Amino acid sequence: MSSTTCPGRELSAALSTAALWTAAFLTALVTGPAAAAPHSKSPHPERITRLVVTPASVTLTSPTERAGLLVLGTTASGRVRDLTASASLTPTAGANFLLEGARLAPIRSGVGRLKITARGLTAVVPIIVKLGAGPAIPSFKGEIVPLLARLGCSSGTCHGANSGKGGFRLSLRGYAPDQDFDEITRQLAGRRIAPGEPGKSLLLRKPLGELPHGGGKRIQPNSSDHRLLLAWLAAGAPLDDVPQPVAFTVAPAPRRLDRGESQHLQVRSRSNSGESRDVTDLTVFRSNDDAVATVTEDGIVTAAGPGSTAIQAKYRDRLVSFPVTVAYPAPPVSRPRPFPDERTDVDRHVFAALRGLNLRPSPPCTDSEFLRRVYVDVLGVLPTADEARAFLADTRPDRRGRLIEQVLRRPEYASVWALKLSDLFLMRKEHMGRKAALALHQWLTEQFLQNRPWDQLVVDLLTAKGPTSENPATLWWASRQMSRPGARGWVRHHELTGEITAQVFLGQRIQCAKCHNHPTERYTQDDYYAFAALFSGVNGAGKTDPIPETLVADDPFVVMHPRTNRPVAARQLDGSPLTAPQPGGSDRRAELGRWLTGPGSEMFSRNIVNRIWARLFGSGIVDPVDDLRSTNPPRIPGLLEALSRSLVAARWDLKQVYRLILNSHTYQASSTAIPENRIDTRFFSRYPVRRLVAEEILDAVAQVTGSPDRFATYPVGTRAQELCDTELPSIALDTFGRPPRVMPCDCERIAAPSLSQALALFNGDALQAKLKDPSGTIARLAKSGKPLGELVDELFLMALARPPDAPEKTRLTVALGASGSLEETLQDVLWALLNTKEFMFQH
Amino acid sequence: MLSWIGKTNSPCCDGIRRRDFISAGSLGVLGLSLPELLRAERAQAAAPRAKSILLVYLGGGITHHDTFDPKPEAPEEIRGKYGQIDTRTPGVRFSDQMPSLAACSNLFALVRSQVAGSDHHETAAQWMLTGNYGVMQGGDYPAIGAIVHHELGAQNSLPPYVAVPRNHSFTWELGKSAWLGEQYESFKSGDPAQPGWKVTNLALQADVDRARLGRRNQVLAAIDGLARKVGNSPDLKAMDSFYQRAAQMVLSEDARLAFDLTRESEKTLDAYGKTERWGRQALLARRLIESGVRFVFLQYSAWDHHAKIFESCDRMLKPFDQALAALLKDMNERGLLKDTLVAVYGDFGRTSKINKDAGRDHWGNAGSMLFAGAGVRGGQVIGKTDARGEYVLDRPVRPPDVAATLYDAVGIDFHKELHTPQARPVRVLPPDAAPIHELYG
Repeated sequence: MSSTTCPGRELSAALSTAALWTAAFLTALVTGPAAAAPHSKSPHPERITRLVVTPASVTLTSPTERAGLLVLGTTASGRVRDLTASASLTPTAGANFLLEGARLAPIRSGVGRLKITARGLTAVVPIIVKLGAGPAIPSFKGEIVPLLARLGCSSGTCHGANSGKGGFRLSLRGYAPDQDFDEITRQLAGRRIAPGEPGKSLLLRKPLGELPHGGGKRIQPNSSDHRLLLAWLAAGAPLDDVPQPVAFTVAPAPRRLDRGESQHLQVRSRSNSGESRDVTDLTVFRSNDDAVATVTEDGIVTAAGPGSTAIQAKYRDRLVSFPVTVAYPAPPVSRPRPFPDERTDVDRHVFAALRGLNLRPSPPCTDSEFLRRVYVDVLGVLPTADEARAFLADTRPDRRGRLIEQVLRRPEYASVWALKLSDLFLMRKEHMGRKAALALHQWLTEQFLQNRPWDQLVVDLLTAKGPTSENPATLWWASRQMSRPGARGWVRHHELTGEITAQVFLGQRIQCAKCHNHPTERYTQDDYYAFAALFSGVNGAGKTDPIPETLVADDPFVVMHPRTNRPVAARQLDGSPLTAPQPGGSDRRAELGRWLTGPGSEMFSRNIVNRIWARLFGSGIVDPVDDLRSTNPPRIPGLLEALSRSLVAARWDLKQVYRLILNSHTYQASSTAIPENRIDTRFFSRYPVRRLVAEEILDAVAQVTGSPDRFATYPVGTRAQELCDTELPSIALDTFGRPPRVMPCDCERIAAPSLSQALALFNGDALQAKLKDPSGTIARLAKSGKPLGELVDELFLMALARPPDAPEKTRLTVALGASGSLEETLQDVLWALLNTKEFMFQH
Repeated sequence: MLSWIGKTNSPCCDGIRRRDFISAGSLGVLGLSLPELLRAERAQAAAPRAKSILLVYLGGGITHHDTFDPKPEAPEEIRGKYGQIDTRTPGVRFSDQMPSLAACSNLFALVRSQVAGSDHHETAAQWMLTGNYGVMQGGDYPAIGAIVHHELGAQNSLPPYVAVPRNHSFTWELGKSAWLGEQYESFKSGDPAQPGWKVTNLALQADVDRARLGRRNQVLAAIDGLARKVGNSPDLKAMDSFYQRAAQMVLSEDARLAFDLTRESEKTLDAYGKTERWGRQALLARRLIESGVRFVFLQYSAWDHHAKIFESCDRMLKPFDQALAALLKDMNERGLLKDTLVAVYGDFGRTSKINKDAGRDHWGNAGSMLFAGAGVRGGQVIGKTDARGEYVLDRPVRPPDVAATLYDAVGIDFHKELHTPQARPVRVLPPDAAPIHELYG
């Protein structure tokens, strides 16, 4: 019962990325007797040939320290098995330590030895204990606070809730230990601790279950958790200032797990004095996806189902993730089809991942599928009937490559990006006025028309200043969605600017850290305000209309930390300090620009290549696309790195990344599932089917019916994708999921199908009006004098970039029957085409 | 008349399934969804307490001090500015902003012991809307309405799960269908209080009658082959089911009638509060229940008053009281309460002590909820809070228990396992979830 009232896990989603994973472990390779016979009674038939124990030698320097040993075996075929649970541990020398279960605890200084036996092999590990004089005083910050987090006490559903629980309030997962110290030792008139009789402290008796506790019994009597808390209380409940660890690592090295297989994790932290210790028992573990792998409180991972995910380990402010890959079951075919040739680097990485997962890519798509696909993905529009005819008649072997080059030169490419960025920049009339939105939108479009390198474009925005009428990039700073304190005109708050910059350009969601340390990322509240402080010098000057006449960046405003109420020094997002001194009144943004293409270029480039990938495949290599957390690793890590490196090598020319992707087999694979990849939805083994987004559907319907939408105040012929803001009321756009532009999050755009969408296309009067438009496609075709069959072919080419096939013609003939005028018949055929999923969906 | 006419024999010869062939105007075939109907029949066998659920969701978290759980003895900084009035239930007093509900307290049971367990909007709302503690973004547990749709299906051509005017959203949309798939997502009515509101695209168009729509459907069936071709696509499957439902709604009268508020009398409109936005929404919700919708989600998310709470409450509580009381009385008079469970709750309660901005903040340790209909014994109070309204002293009711109460009412076994598309078994509710049995005592 207690476990459900007070779950140890909390808010966090599918998490992710750049594996912080490091194997900075002392790993001992101790080979057993070569003749060691495999366990005859073992349920595992595999023979273990090598035993590897981590760490190779154990050093214990604190009386409260507990260390575990990771015991891995290697089979003859080179596979690794976790033998930690079945290994037997026997002290063979020294009385300086003892075993508490599988944990080593120090007794007195000295050197001892421990024999580890598993599956007939043995290894011996030296146990070195170096204790200082004096009693054991556990560290509040280094041990007690992490323990309370691990026990779930400071979780968001227990005392970590903003209102606390039962009158006892801790900071969420211990992000503010000083505050927690005050709460524990001073609040409630100090009754939580009983100095004379530490064992009578509420802090112990509640979680031990000795007194009624809403969270139930959290600590077993006489467990090491119990003794740790007691030792701290007995020492007088002192506060210390142990610094955050400088390194935090997890072992073993990642490997593929079979379904049902388990693996113990071991987590170590290293202090700035070089001291390393096992903190597995003080670490909070959680799985990003329980469907792939689960993890116990003690850090034992079990593979649950096929796919890949990551286990997060958190100790104090440090996070590390352990990637887990579980292969799919063997495909239900006797001989899986061979892999196609690798066409670009993309295929190399994707195919390698598919091999590891027991998947195969689908065969290539057809030419008409490719044509429509590349048009919609790159340009947001359908190919016309003429363009379809021309491409389908092209028999040159390199026709797809040529088409890619043609498409990349088209101006609609720029509209796609201007729309995407306008979404993410929250461009709304009420935020910045229509005139400014229009000017900034146009500036963005021009940058993409010129194929401006991505780094230059972003730096232009982030460092813009001067007269707003001359430099439209300055308008990026104009917003009253959240105004900076003392704003002159509409100038966005530096906190919101920090959030947008982090999320849109770096793929980092830092909003959580505004109020408390980020629960699933390394960002602390300090980091949040230090990053925001980069932007706090920006303000308006001159007349305000309400857009300021001039944007300046040397406003002396000082950001104060909300908890400490001290001035905050600006820092980059990775915490690195600025190189130049930063007195109030200086423009700190140029440093950010240099950081983006220097130390920050990995984050900066990964973000944008992941966004390009998501545009072309419907979801990112890291998913969600704007959540490139260290604890949310890419589905295919090598792929993200390869694309990111190629972007930097191409001097931030985004189209180079497009070329690498569009020319790959992976992009050109059919969307049709094959038995070898039917269950995969995550590893790009086939091209993903997904609905066209709101503006694309509207534009496609307008294009095919020859009946353009009229958007008030915009010139006739403006496409929905070219609108600069979301001011225009449009039921159609809302029905199909146009984003409201309130958060800088890709998640605002809804691509899911819905009943309202079906109604709009099935019975929509807007669509019927377009079919009947006297200057539209149907009216034109009906007057052409061509035979119906030819006209139907034309409609197919317009809507689906292909002519109907023979069975379709047969069925159509039956379905149409003989009723209705030619115009009505054509309307009905086009109605049906626009209602096919082949039209509505990318495939 | 087609110039490429070839052999035109049986339309079935190249793989078209029979159900794709639709005779003009025949609703039964067009909207066929046999599994849903069969499920609906099966569900009846167990004789559940209710056929449908109306969930009134007070998103943002309504203040319990100033509504259903006043603390007249507490200092003013807790008590707030409102007085107290007697209700029809002896010994039970409400805030004086709730006169209409006080006068019909015989119709509902008041639960003063909601323990939402979280002070975080999204986390708490996901919990209250799914009965499961999950990630705040959702995706791991389907909303109760989506499971009701999945388990019970539709009673007629109307969508079984409708949100008025839409799902709850604080920052992002909450209480979605998660891995059940989009086809179990709520249908959003839009806001009936908006001038000119109607459910778009529901009425047949003048020049596309049933016969023509039937022909169009035949043509569509002849060429709509993508789902068959690609094999495994949940989105295509979902869109297919939406098309079936769309056809049913357009071709039958049920939906048009259900959404037509002009059929209500002036008297009824006045009772709900004619000019009040939420009154209109509540009225639409009643019409939908009356029309056979299984699960109506009626949203009233405006209670997150961190500042100047009394200014807002002065404005909002009276119309809320009027509309909710009108809804309950109207449903009672029409006999709808007999087989509908009405549940009224939100994310959580609010803090007892009025803060420096004259507001009340999030409070997951206590809150109030109402339940009516489906055999619930009205005029009773379940659970109580301490003198400050901060902690629950008696009969805490947690989100899984609330969800269990709803499932139990319509006869859904909440201990069963459902399976995600990856075949992972997921229990409808955690093992210790239990309905609030006192409601029926």
